[in-house]
Amino acid sequence: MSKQRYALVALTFVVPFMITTTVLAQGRGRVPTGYNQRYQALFAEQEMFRKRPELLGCVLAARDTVQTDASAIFNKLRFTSKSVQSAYMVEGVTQGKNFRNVRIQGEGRVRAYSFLENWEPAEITCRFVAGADPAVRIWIAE
Amino acid sequence: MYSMLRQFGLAALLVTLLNVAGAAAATVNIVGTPMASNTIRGWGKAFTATTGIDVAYIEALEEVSTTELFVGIYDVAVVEYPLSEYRLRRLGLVQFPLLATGVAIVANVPGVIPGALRLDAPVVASIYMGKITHWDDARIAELNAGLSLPHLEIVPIAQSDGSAVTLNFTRYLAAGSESWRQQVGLGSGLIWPLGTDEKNAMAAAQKLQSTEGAIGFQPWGHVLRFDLPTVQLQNAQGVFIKPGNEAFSRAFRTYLGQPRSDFSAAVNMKGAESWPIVAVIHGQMKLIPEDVPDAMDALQMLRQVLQNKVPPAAGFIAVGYDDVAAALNQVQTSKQFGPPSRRKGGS
Repeated sequence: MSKQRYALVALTFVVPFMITTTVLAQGRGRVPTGYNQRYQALFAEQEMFRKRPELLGCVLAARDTVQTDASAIFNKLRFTSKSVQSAYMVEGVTQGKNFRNVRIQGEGRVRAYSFLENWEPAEITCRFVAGADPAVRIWIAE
Repeated sequence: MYSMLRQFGLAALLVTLLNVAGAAAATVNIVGTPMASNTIRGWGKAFTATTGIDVAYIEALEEVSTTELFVGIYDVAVVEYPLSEYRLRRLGLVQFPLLATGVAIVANVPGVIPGALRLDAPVVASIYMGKITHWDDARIAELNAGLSLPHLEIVPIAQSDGSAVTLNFTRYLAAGSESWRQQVGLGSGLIWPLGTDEKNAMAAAQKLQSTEGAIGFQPWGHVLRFDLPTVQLQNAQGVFIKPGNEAFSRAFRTYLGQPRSDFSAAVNMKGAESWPIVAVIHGQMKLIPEDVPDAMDALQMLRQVLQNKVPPAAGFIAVGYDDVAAALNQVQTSKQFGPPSRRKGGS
């Protein structure tokens, strides 16, 4: 292959690839890929596994809700690093029964017939009363 | 062609023999929190010495432990966070308390004899919220009449390690301080109000040892290991208690004796001599095990070590066998099959 052909191949394939990776590495050029979002959500869940396992009951209950309730506003939930940090939990006793309230901020995929995925900030609250099924409320956060 | 078939046949025979050998060498597989690893491995060694049955303990995260127990990879899971009745029901698991450790407050205050300082929940909460900044503050002095306290800055040390030790410490603070309850809440991995935290209890223990004026919370095992200076803590009855196995045992016995429901924690247990913060580690098993012979070995191991009172690792208290016998007896130790289902669409 002649030198001109090598140069042509380099210009066609290698240079655009290098520019893209450089831009992504520097954080410029907002290129939200599905992979990145999934990775962030997985990372946040790992953080929950490791740092705040007490929140997992609410996370699982919220997932059950969006998967089983056809009228739920979201059909999928994901969590960010902010979810782990900003979550608030409190416990107490009401009418002789232990209870636990948890509030977590996450993101929810809006249930809609569309090719586009519309993720909105979601506010999740769980109320657990001893011996009873959890009560979960999920809505779009303001 | 013939030689190829013969080689294949030999390989298949070898694999079968290996499988048979593997099945013959029974192993109890336990998964769970790193906190219990020394105790369970010690118990495993004692059990292996008398029965020849191996015990393997794998450290894993909480949810991973329960999930892997549920799918049948392990025979027992050991967790710091007990599951709610709702999830136990859904997963078909039985849960029982297994171990406990006291959570001590450590204060490195020069000139003060270890164990002499007295603190209560509102004061500790105020320290962690930055409202009390020096050791000679009037609120601390009020609890410690006759004790000479230095004008030294308090260095609150906290860890966000996801452990029940941290969670129960925040439970104690929330029970004694309404502002902590409202502004911070409970958590094992909090954003602490003063913004500083160590990655785990070990790092926090080392910092407590080396920092004058530091205050922190530690599992009893670390207090013994690092020889950390502890404080007397006010319990639910208003009595100031010195930390130690007796005070922890009293709280643990009270916890075991009372009817437990979801979110019960061994914090502020009744009893004038009870230590107010104890972290309890629970065991979990499947009601209908995947591998019945291994599950029976696991039950035998628990029965043997608890009945013989094989000592747990330093800093821990083990449950008595009688306390957990009812729960362990629920585990099905033989395959039971229901009545054959009727075939659809025909008689």
